[in-house]
Amino acid sequence: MKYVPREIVDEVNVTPVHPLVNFGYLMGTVVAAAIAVYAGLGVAGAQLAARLGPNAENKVGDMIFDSVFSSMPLTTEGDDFEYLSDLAESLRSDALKKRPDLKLHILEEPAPNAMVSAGGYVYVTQGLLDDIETENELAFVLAHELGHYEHRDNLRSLGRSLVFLSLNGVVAASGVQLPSLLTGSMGLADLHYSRDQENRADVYALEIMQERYGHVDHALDFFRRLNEDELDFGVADRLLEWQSTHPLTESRIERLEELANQRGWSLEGEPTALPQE
Amino acid sequence: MTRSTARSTGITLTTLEGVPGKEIIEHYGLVQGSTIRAKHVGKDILAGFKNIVGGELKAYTELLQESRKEAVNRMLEQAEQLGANAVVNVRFATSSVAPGAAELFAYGTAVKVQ
Amino acid sequence: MIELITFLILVGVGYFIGNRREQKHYEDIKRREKQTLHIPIMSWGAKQDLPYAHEAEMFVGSVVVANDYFKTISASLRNLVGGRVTVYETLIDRGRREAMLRMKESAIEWGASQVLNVRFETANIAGQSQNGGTGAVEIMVYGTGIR
Repeated sequence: MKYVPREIVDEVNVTPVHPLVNFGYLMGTVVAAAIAVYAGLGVAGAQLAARLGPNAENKVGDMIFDSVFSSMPLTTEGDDFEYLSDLAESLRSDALKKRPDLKLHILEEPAPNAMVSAGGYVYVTQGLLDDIETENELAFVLAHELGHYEHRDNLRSLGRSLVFLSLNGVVAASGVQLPSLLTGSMGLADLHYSRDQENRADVYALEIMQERYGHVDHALDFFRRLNEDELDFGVADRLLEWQSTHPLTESRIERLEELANQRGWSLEGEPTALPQE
Repeated sequence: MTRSTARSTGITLTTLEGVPGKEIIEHYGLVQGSTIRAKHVGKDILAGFKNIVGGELKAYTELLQESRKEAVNRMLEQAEQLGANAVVNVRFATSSVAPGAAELFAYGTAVKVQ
Repeated sequence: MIELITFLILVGVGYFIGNRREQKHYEDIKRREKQTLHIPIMSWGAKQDLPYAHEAEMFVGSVVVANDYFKTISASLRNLVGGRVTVYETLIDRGRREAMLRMKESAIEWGASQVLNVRFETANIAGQSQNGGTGAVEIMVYGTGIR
């Protein structure tokens, strides 16, 4: 037997694909899948939110309260609180009366803000109570939050997180490790409302204003002042949070004034005073 | 350790079933040598850096060559005890027994050739 | 944000340096393969008649190769998608050929005319931690050189 030295020229053990092309393909596939999953979760979450019964909603609300808000400085007594909860109760629409009862809390925070969480938990900061000048302003802010509540906006954004958390639990239990890159990019604290949801809540609140006071004047004064503050002092830190979760106040006011004009709601009227303390 | 009879015992190692050109007169059964080595932290840290750019980890190559030499030497000690002058049909096996530790194992048949 | 930037830098450095070194290594491997082509390497020998020779000696060639950061990330993405992990093919291929060359070169130095009954051994020497630890593979080749 004779040995004939011959060279192997073709690289058969190496796939002839450029590493970057390969990387791009992989990245694209994974990102596309992640987007599909995220969108699917959104749909599933919205379905879940729309079907959640009052009991389940109460449970979710209590859970969130226990884990997030219960550790914050909250007040549920005093003249301010009595006035506030009477006002909020009087703003409740018939549809809202079928949902879990309102559970009002005053949050000892200097930044003016208000929020609603699942299960009828309404939070108003002390900063907001200090800043408002008429009942109309306060009623508009409260009605806006009640709008989110009635439209189930908070449940909707929570729905995705709920579905995602349960899915993540299943995936982790099966021993598959999602790369941290992937889980990190899927924010769980996705509690922002969309612009549409904000606009709907605004319209909802303005309707209630017209019903209650017979005009929509002064309802937006609070936001006007917020705007002026911004112009005077630049963007103050404490407003940033408010700003980030709400549409720009200027366009918001304009849109609402236009709506009032269209529907023939009066933009002139006497403000209702706050109770003397 | 490219030439594995590093320990000059005069014992010939082959991966064949005999020693070419020589006849086996006696055989003494299986001999084996094994060692378990852990990577050392400093080297591991350097290797961690190397993991960014890839390529050969020279420190590890040398470490494993050292360890394999030790496994072979242990096998040769067994062969010596048996009075063999060659170990034929030598095979190697490497396995990761614990995170960061590897077992290097060499085995073969101890024989006496002419 | 800082994490993302570090990540991108590591991937970039891994890709550019890793790729350059890989190309250089391949050039080197091909050059040396041509040089050592005259030595027959055979995976038989054990069950054949022993070739006539005066002397026999065992030779070992080994190398530990590590993956670069770019390859690690590509492979972890590939883990989600499935299929051929092309980035590791070149790594293992390089390692195997390098180990083979080291064995051949030491056999040539000794004066071998051929290397018989060659066996490969591949071992993962990486840490077994969840995040992969240091991804490295040892490849060794051994065989009997005769002269």
